[in-house]
Amino acid sequence: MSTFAQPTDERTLLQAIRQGDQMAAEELVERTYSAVFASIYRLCGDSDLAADLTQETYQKAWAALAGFDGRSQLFTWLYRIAYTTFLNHVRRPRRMTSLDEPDSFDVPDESPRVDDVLADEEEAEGLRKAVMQLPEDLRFTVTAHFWGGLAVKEIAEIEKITTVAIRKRLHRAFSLLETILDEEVR
Amino acid sequence: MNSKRRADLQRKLSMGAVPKPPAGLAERIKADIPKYLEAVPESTARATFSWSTTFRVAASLMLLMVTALITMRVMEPAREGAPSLAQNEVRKEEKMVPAVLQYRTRPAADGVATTSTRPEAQVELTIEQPLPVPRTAAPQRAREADDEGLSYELAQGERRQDAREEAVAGNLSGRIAPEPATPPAQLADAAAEAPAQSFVAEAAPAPAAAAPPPPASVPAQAATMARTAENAAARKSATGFAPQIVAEAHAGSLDLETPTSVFGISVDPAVFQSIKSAIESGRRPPAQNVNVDAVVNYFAGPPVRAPRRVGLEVEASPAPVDAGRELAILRFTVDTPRVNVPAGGSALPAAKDARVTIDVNHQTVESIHRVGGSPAMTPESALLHNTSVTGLYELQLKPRLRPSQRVATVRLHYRSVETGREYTLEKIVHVHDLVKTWSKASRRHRLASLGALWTQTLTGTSGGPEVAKRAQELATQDPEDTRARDLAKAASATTGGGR
Repeated sequence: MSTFAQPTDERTLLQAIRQGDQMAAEELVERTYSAVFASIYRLCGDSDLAADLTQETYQKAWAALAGFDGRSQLFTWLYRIAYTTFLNHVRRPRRMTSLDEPDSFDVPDESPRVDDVLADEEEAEGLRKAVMQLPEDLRFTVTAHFWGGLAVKEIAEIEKITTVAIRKRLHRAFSLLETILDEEVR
Repeated sequence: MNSKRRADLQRKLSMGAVPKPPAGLAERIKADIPKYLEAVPESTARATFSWSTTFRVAASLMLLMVTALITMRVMEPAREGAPSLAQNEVRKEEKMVPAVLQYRTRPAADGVATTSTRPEAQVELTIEQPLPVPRTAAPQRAREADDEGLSYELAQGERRQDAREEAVAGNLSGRIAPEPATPPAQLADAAAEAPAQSFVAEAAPAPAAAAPPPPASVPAQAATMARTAENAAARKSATGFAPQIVAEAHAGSLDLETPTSVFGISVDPAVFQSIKSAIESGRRPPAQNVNVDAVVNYFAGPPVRAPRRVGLEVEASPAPVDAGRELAILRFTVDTPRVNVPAGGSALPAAKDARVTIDVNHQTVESIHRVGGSPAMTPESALLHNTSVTGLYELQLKPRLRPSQRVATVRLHYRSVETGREYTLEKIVHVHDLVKTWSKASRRHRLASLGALWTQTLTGTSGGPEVAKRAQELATQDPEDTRARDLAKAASATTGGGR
């Protein structure tokens, strides 16, 4: 939603952050938080939860900044943290149950366009659930590539395997997704 | 696998709709940024050339040589008059530690240093580099305060002390090292030799024994701080970095009153207090004389969490009460960081040359008017700390809009006093940002927009009971919120719904 107009390349920005420049850190947030939020939203399908996990992601990122070697893109690094944050949330034992209504589009206008949107949402939700049923390695690969927007090469660097292996993972993931979605239809 | 089906699956995976991040998320994230970020890790530092690295390597080599020398001497038969190991250690420190740090090293009764200081702290040397800067009123003010015994330096001193404590906790010595009462002569020489980039504060582990503040008197410290601020301000313009104290030094040169209007929007809190008094004494405030801007700003109030930098908050929602048209409320709020202001003092500028612009998309907006004033806003030459200013706009939207269409773009341009750099904060409002109901908007937004609507009910237009009901809901949701209580009372009294 917002951007700093001053163009600064990523390396300079990171250097400034490491030198304690708060404004550079804020600029990093402005540049990346929408994408981090979007990738987490696609993982969890809940806007409020995605916002909380996005906030948690950055808290972890500041703490882990010293360990970031700068070899990968900043967003790639942030995505890895975001994904881990999401997984931690999923694995966290549930002590509280939300009494809020599930997140939904609160659209006052009942035009056909809204119906289309809701139908798409339903389909997207089905797909999200199917992705969540994939084995961990395939799930990370699919979500990082399609929802995090990471290139195959970047995922390969994160996973420390070859790009060919990543492509094989994607292939296997699609086969499995097809099976899962078919089972849901039946 | 069917390639067509696979392509379809890929398309669906890539095309999923994602809502915009909720309003205020960026501010929440920014509020979590640690005050002192981590230093460059060793692995990264290795990749980039810096003088501090060179210095460390040189210091390590020296240490190695001295250790080798000591070892050789220890191995030799004891000679009469040969220095002891402890004495050698002390000499070594005297060689390595820059002059500016010597006051930190407290000699014990036997003359042996009790603290060790890492050589990274050399950064302090360059901060003291004297530069030909024209003197501002800051040191003058410090001197006046010195003479008159005012609370100025005390407040500054408190802030310094806080910063010092935080620095000890955060292991950041470069930013906040206390200034010696009189800079050592070697300081200027060392600074002249220091490379330009090395002045940037580096994080260094705190000494094992915490260094005490210098034994300088408070007025002397204030004068030194003011001088340091001048130098830092001059360096800032050259490098783009500057310590926090620059803002304070600049502020000292501007004797600014607390403004009653910002960007041409009245923010005088006394306005609502007089309305409140009138209502409490049973009088109905004359609608035509009510300063709507001031009322809106009273109810918008300060942010829940003060920003560390100048911040722009933009939120849009349907109107508080359904008026039967496609009305929306657009709010922008500019907040500046909060600082303590001594009694009788004035807030200091956080930004200069600030202006807000609103670019409306006329493909989606039928009409727009600012609630309580003319749409044109005036620029501010200085935006003070402790400032919050809210502007409300009523938009009439065109029918049948797509969620992705832009409604308006709000921009805040300013020049940071701290860094001297110009910034533009930009927030874009799309149709889908308006989709939520008014009750889902932030509390600040609801209070501000309901406050504005309440002023309209004073003219006798309909909607009074509905406003009172909504205000009562807000007050019930948070009984500690005095503003919500004020609004509920005012709305109830002026619409005849009071108990």
